Amino acid sequence: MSSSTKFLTLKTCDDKKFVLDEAIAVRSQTIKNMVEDDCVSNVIPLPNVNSKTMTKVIEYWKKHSEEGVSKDVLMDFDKAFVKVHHSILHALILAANFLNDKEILDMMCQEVADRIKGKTPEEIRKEFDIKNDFTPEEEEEIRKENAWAFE
Amino acid sequence: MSVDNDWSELPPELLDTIVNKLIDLRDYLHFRAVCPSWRSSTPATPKNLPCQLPWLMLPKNQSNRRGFFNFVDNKVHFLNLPEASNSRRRCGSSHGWLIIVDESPSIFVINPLTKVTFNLPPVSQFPNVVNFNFYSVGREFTLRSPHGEVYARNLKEMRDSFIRKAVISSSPSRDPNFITMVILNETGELAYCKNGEHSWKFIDDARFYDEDVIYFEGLFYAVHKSGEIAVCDVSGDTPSVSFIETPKQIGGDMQYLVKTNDEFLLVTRFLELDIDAAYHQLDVVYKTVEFCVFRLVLERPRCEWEEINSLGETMLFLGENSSLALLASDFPGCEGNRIYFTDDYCEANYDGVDGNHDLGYYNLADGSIEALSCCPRNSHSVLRWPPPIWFTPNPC
Repeated sequence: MSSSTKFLTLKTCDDKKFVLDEAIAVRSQTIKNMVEDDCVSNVIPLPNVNSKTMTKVIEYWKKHSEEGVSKDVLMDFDKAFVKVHHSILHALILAANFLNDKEILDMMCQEVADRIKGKTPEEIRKEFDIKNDFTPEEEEEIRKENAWAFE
Repeated sequence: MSVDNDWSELPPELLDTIVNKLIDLRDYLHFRAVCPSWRSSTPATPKNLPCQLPWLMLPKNQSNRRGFFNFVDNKVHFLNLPEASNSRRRCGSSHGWLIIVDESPSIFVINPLTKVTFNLPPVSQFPNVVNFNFYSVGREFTLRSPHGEVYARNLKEMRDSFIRKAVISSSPSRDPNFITMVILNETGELAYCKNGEHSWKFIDDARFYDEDVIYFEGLFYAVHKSGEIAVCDVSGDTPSVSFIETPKQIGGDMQYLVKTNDEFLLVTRFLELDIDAAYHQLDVVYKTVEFCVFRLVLERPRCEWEEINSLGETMLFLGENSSLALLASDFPGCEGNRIYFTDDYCEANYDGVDGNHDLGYYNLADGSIEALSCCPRNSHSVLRWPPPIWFTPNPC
């Protein structure tokens, strides 16, 4: 490792610390801005991200920063990466949004869209554990508006 | 991060990112029906939906409901559409809008999903119509041929055979300056009108470029039987026409012009006479037997149609609709290298024609023709007039 390698310490909301090569951590635009603005002290607090989610994010960052990894390997990695319980998917979307990592955000939102495709509203609620807050009357109204789509 | 992972609480901008990745209109509508917060954070009319896979608009049945067949999931969707009743004829389908001619003799465009309509100048407002008198029953229209002869036509004749095909430049809901172009059946004229105008204008220089017409990036491209293209710019006060000259294409019964992502295609359709024995009577009908596809090689000044034997991932949708090319890879369950066709030659457009319609899909790989499950070939089903048409559902 070259002597110029700089390390950053990230602290998640559950007080776990992650020491990370700065070159990798700046995949997050949020962290990059902090580094560039020179407002980085010893530890960067990430009040919106927990350690479990951060572990996943760092796993992604490291894989995508490795040298000499083929496209196919990365594609397989990404495919496996998004196959997670919807609660982790949810956490990763919020984390990617906070960290301002468009690549992860985009991939995760695509995964959500893929899980929605071809499903009825009821099946989508089941997939994501969403409570149906519509009254029966509202629901009837929604169906009537575009009846063909709900036949 | 909140331990709570309530999807209904996701910030609107993130819901927006997700919903922008949905490409199927039905998925979009289902998304908005999941919970109140998802509904309120997304517009009722989607902003960026790509062109949808066409449905086949089926002939009229008893009620005002019209069936639209989705050939991927074999479902028929029903829309209430009294505007396309039996006294009316559609003569085109572009961007999810139907162009409809009435006996009255009005012409209008309608979006069957939203029911929004725009009136176009009526049939009586074409330059070759010299008189229209509602009380001259049976000869309401007086027309003048290009050679100066004057002749009469009745309401139904005008409705059914005056206009062969109409296309619009863009969705009228999105573009108040949309332009309608029509091909006239008997005289081979091209006529157009801009939204809000009160009469139709002929494009004199493009007469007989009447096989097919499409709109692409500000210009109308009309194709002659020989394969030559008239490029019509009607944005100004008078139309200006330039030509893409090609060696003559010989053979075939009908030509279609299609714009794919990267080139123009000329599709030649071959028909054959067929004896159709049904109901103890013999009908002579046309049946499609083959298609040939050519790509335009642009080497000015002389361009050329070069035959291709594969469309790759591309699917073509041909008929009375605006000729359409889509990529099969954009639509799960679809296969490329196919030409989906309906009958749009005029004999079949007339009221009272018996028998089955000439529609299905052609495999360019092996030259085979397959029926669509809603309309088996050689079956005398209830499917009658008007012949089915391809229609791309579009909520805006």
